[in-house]
Amino acid sequence: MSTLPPELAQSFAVAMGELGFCSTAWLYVRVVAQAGGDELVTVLREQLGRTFPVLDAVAADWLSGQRAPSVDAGAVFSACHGLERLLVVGLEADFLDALLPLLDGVEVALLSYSMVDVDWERVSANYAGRVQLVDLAAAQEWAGSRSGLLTFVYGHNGHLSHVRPSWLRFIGDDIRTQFRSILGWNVLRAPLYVYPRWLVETPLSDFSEVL
Amino acid sequence: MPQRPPFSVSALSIESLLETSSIESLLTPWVSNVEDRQFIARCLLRSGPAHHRGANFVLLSLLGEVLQRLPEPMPQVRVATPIEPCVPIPLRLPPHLAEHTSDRYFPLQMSLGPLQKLAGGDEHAVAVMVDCLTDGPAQHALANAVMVNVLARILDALTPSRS
Repeated sequence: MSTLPPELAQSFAVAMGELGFCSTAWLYVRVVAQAGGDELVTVLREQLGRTFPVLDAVAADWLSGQRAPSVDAGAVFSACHGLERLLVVGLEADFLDALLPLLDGVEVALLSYSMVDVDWERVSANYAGRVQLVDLAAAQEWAGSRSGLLTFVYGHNGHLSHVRPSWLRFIGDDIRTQFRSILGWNVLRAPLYVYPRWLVETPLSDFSEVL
Repeated sequence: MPQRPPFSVSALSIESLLETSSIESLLTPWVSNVEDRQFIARCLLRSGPAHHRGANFVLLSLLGEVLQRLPEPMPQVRVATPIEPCVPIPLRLPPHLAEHTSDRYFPLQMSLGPLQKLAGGDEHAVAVMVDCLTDGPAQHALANAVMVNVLARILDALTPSRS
């Protein structure tokens, strides 16, 4: 059976900080599939799946015949109706890229806080001024009755979901009543199969809407 | 002697009692936007300690029942006019962020009519009442405001007192 270079894990870890777990996983799965088809995607899943559970889920998606992430930006756009400002916690480049063109007139900020190493200036440069960076201390300045919070959900079972730890660092009982909408955007088609390393559990009831 | 459990009703039982849609419906005359109603209802029934959520649900539901039984039906959208003074309910933000912009208030206004009647023209007393009713956690301040609004409607519908 083929193997993949061990350095792949290191490069994946760098990329996932700046593109997001799911967006990076789709990028790697596509490239690996181009190089060696489903067989090599299976190898990728075997080698890195337990270390990167979102990659495991995306590889499983690929092997079941899916060829792209499920990105329903229209549903998120609808949930943002009436909002003037949106604070995003966590990063998923494929998903934000699809959403941002729809949010004409809505100010968008990204919480520059992550448990994973991120070069925030480089991330910011990808959005050419469309997205402001906000640190944890200033994030509450985005609160308001026309403000929304959005984070990415990595699968759920109808009760519990997996989110980035940064979400739990920010969300609290006080914050929940300071934003009109608290949106969870599910970026996976199924719950995670392996231990959710890098992620934490939170009840779906944390969100005013899960999309 | 065996200890009796201090709380015989679980938080889950309280949670199962809460029915958001009826409270959203109750809010309609004062909050015209559906997303705003969902926001207010979430603060009333999904934030704070479980017993407060349950108490909000019970009291607001009962007041909604009273509204239903009034001789004149409640108009579906009630717009504040100059003769019906209202105050906004501020979001519970840290003091340094509590700016006076429209976005820093909940999308619900509290009617001042009943408080003005209660205060008998004493504007300072009205201000004190407003402070008491709108201060504190969101689930309290918003429940207070909705209750005052409903009571205003009930008082309007009742025969004026003889005094």
